[in-house]
Order: sequence, then structure tokens, then C-alpha cells
Amino acid sequence: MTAAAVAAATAEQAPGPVPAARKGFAAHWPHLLPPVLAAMVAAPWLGRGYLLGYDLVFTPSMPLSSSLLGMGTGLPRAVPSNLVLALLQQLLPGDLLQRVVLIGLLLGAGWGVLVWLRSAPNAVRAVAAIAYLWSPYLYERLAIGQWAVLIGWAALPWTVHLCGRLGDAARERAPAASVRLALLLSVPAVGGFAAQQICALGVLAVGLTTTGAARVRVLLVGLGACALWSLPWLVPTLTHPGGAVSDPAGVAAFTARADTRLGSLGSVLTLGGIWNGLAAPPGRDSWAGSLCALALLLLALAGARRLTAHLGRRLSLGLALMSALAVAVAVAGLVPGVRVLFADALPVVPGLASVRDGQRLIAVLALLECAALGFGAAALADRLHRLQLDRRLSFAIVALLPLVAVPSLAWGLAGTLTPVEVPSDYLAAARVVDASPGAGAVMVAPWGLYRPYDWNNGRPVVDIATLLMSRYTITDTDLPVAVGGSGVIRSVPGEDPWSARIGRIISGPGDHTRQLAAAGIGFVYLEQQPPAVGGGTVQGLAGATAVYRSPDVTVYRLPGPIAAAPAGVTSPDRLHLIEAADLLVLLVLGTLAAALLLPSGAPLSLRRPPVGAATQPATEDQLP
Amino acid sequence: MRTLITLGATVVIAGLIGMGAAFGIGTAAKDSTTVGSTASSSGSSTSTGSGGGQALFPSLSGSSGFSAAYGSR
Repeated sequence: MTAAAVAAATAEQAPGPVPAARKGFAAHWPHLLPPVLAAMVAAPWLGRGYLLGYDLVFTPSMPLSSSLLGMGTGLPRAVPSNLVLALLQQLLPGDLLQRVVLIGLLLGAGWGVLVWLRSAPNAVRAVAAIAYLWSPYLYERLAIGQWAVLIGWAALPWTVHLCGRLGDAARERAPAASVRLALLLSVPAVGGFAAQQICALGVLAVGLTTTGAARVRVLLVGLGACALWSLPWLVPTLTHPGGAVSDPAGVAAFTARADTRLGSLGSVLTLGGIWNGLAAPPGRDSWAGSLCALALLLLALAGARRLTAHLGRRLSLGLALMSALAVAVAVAGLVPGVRVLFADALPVVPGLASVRDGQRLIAVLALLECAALGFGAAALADRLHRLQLDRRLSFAIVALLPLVAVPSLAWGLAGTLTPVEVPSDYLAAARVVDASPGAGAVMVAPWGLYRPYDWNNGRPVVDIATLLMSRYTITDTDLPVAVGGSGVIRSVPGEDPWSARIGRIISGPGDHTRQLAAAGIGFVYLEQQPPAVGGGTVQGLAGATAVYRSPDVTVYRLPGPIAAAPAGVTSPDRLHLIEAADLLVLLVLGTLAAALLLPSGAPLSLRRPPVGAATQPATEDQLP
Repeated sequence: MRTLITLGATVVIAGLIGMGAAFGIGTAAKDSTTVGSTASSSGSSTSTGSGGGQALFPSLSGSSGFSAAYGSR
């Protein structure tokens, strides 16, 4: 591109308010794209029932319990996401809530990109929004059921947008902009550490590349809010009885892998590369799928210069740096020396396990690439225009390319993520457990966290029983990963010492009833498919009483005495600490929300009085 | 020359999109029937219960195939 063309593009696409010429449909048509794309993904989700797969578990009933706060012997990986779900389930049925959450994430991500790039040409915004929403990243995280991670992905463009607003805000407007950013960052906090890491990269991308007071403001507010909203999972993690360290086997299991013919690095750079081969988009590993992915990457590179002109050199650099960091973390486990270092550090450094699946951090790369792709489409349009071809053709081609690259995202991941009914006896058994007298936790068996339920079409999902009871449930926390398609299962040990103890008991010989009771187990929730024939007690539970029996589930109550649960579950000091942290977060959240929502003149309100009501003439900064 | 370049570029792009769609949708359709567990869900073990009678039950340890792998590398 010539210097004149760059200058023209810069002038045309300089940041600023929406051009006055855009009005009505002409101005806002890109906002229709996220609903259309979301409908293409979610069309089969219209009926009742639950979408279940891997970590994606919404259930008809999720009773409130202290384990939702993080009380337990395992690391609080689903805190506070499951707590928020349980609270919202008091208002909405679980399957409806699931649709609201998942479709809301798709819409939030698409609209976020459109708002962030609001001063770019509409065609550029449209291509960027399509590419961000319709990406291998979304497919993979949806396939593995990590909706909590997708909260970070959906909130990222909003984070970058509001950080930019805060950095640019005049002094008088800085408090309101700070509160808006802080409130926004409470959304990814629902998803826990994974979602927050993604948005923290967005904060750093803006904060580290601004200057002066703006830098201090963005970093202080952004990172401060991230830290404050982390308390609900951070306090349970810091008070975890076994420390927050993890097994070194997680490095080999969860590092990025090639899901295209472009290698592991190429797969990550084209916004895929998840560790789990079963979660990769079908067809992406073909030559055609790989070439599509490569074409999108090259088009994004072609648009990098224009994107830099639009966003400014500093923000572009910040996003590029954070993207490089995310890619480095994603592929760190593939570099021999680093892999050893990482594996050695995991059992020693608390919290390091939070980045062992580093590929999820590339959401920031997705944002950068998709915005660049929009401008790449503009560059291609210019070239085609010189060849007497319609500019709209190139935008249409580039806009379609993401859909062609991951066609299986349509129709609920090509029909693999469709609603199923949870058999009623799972719930009935859970109610019996909760209504039964007697002490002890519930052991969910057979021992293994993921179930290939027949009624879920054999698709593995976290055992739903773990969420159905208010009584503390314990199950296997080891993660079995099949290696190389050979059927060999490599187990990544979990971090729950109580679960490990139960696992050792039941893998031993003889009868387990007394040993389980001595380990604090009062009930066994035993799932069985195909249905059991006849009566009797499962081998290894002599003396246990069946208190519920159905074709799918049998519940046994173990004879006493039942030992007390470990301190991590029962410690009042730990519970009070967690409750205090949660209350503090709620208090601050409520105060900040009130500051934005209360009418002007009210205490705490950050709203400015109407211009006409001001006693002093309004300055230019005060005008809306 | 310009016409030739345009024609060539159009053919390449259309071919890329066509191949991607064909392979992607084809593989998606094929995989939609195979994506699932790496372990069988049909297993059960025979045990003699203390409550009397011969019964088909899974074992507590899960060795009978009631558990699925978290994923595959």
C-alpha cells in the first residue's frame, strides 16, 4: 500500500464518533449479525431439555450448599459460577437459564466487537464480529463445555473498549468510567479465574500502552477490580487444605495440540489448538480446513497495518504483546526445556495449574486477529476494486470464510450439542439422599467424574449427580485422558486429598463399608446402566441399606459410625472467611451499581445533573 | 492480463471455500455420530449381593466402563 493510501485510510478510519451520515438501518445493520449467527448455532436448542457435554452441566435442580461457596477438599474450579447458577435457578428453570446464558454469551461477544470498533466502517465491523463469534475458539470451548471460560471471551471486547474509555476520559468523567469498568469486570468474575485471566490480558493491553495518569487509572481500576472480584474463589483456594498445587502430568495432558495441518503453533495462531482432540472442529485437520484457517490468518495480517492506523500504534502494540504472551503460554508445554520447568513447578507453585490449559488465553489473539481481518477485507476490497470488481464482493467472501472454516459450529455443533431430558430418577434419588437422616457425605459411584450416559447419546459429561444434592458429594477428581487414539488412558491426578483417599479404599480388596464410613461417607449414590436385575447390594457394600432403587440409580446408606468430614469441608473458620469475602464483594458491587443507577443528587450518585439544572454554566466536558 | 488474474483469483477463492465447505460439513456429519466417550458404556459386572439374589451391578471402582475419558490427545 502506498503512503498516500495509508494516510487516506488513517484519515477515513480515525477513531471518533459514529459518522453523522450513518442513520437508521444503514448505521446499525451489523448489530443484526450476532443474533443471526447465534440463531444458526442455537437453532436446535429451542426445545426443552439440557445441553450436556464434558464440563457443560446445567441440571433441573441445584440446591444451595456450602460447597457452592468453595467449602470442600477440592480446588474451587466452579466457584462462583455454580453458586450464581444455583441462585439464578431460584428464578428460572435450569434449561431456560442455560439457553439465556449460552445465547447471551454469543450475543455479548458479537455486540462487544461492534461497540469496540464503533468508529470503523460498518463492513469492517461486520467482518470482525462474524470472525470473532464464528471461530474455532468458540467451537472448542463450547464442545468441551467451558461456558465459564466463554464469559471471559465474551467480556473481552467490552473490557478493551471500557479500558480505552477510561484512559481517554476527562478528569470529571473518570469516576463514572472507572465504575463502569469495575462493574463490567464483575461479569467475567462469575466465570472464575479462567475468564478473569482473559479479561486481565485486555486490561494490560490497554493499561501498559497508555501513558501518564491514564495508565495509572486503567491499571489501578482494571487490575484492582479483577483482584477484588477474585475473592470468592481466591479465599477458598488460599485456604485449600492441600495447597493449590497440582500434578506435573497436567502439562503433557493439557498443552496445546495441532488440530490443523499447520502444526501446534499454526493451530493456535489460527485460533484453535485445544488440547482435547475430541473437542476440535471436525474437518479442521483436513487440507481444505487448514488452508481456510491459513487464508484467514493471512488476510488478518494483510489488515494489520490498517488496524494499527485505526486503533493507534500503542493499543495495537498492547494487544499484540498480550496475544504473544497468550500464545507463548499456550505452547509452553511443547518446548522441551520449558515443559520440564513447567512440570517441576506445578507441584510446588500454588495456582500454576490455572495456566496449564493456556490455549484458552488466546481469546485476546482472537480479538486482535478478527479486528485485523475486518481491515484485511477492506484491503482486499481495495485491490479488487482496482480490478473493476465490486468492493462488496470481497467483504462477502471474507465474511463467509469464517463460516466455511468452521461449518460444524452451526446447528448446535453439527447436532452434537442438542437438548436431552435428564431421567427423573436421578433427581428422585438425590431428594431421597437430602431427606435422609444420618451423617456423612455422598460418594458418587462408579468412581469416575465423566459419564457417557446412554440418554445423552453417549457424549461424556461431568456426573450430574455432583450438582443435584445439598449434601456434600465426593467423586473421583482424577482426569482420564486418552492418548494418541490408542485407547491408552493417562490419568491426571486431581488435587482433592479426600477423593484420593476414597479412591484408594475402593480400589483395594474386600468389603469397603467400614472403611468408607470411617472416611466420612454416609451414602453411596450408585448409577447403573444397563438397569440392574434383581435386588441385592453391590459388591463391597455389605451391610449397607438400599434407601432408593430405580433402573438408573441405587442409593445406599452405610451403617454407622460415620466419621466426620475433613476440616476443609466443615471448618467454621474457613466458612466464615469465605462468607466475609463474598459479603465484601456483594457490598462493593452493590455500592458501585448504586452509584451508577441512583439519580443525580442522591448520595453516592455519579450521575451528572441535567445541564439546565446546573447553577454554573456547564463546561464542554460536562456536556453529554 | 487483468481478466486472467481476476479469473484465477476467483477460481482459487471459490475452490477454497467449496473444498472447505465440502470437507468440513462432510466430516462434521461423519463425526457427529462418533464424537463421544472413549470408553464403553455397556459394561457391568456380576456380583453376589449380601441382600440376597444374583444381580448385575457395576462395581464401585468404575472399572466396568461406566466412566468416560475427559478427552483425547
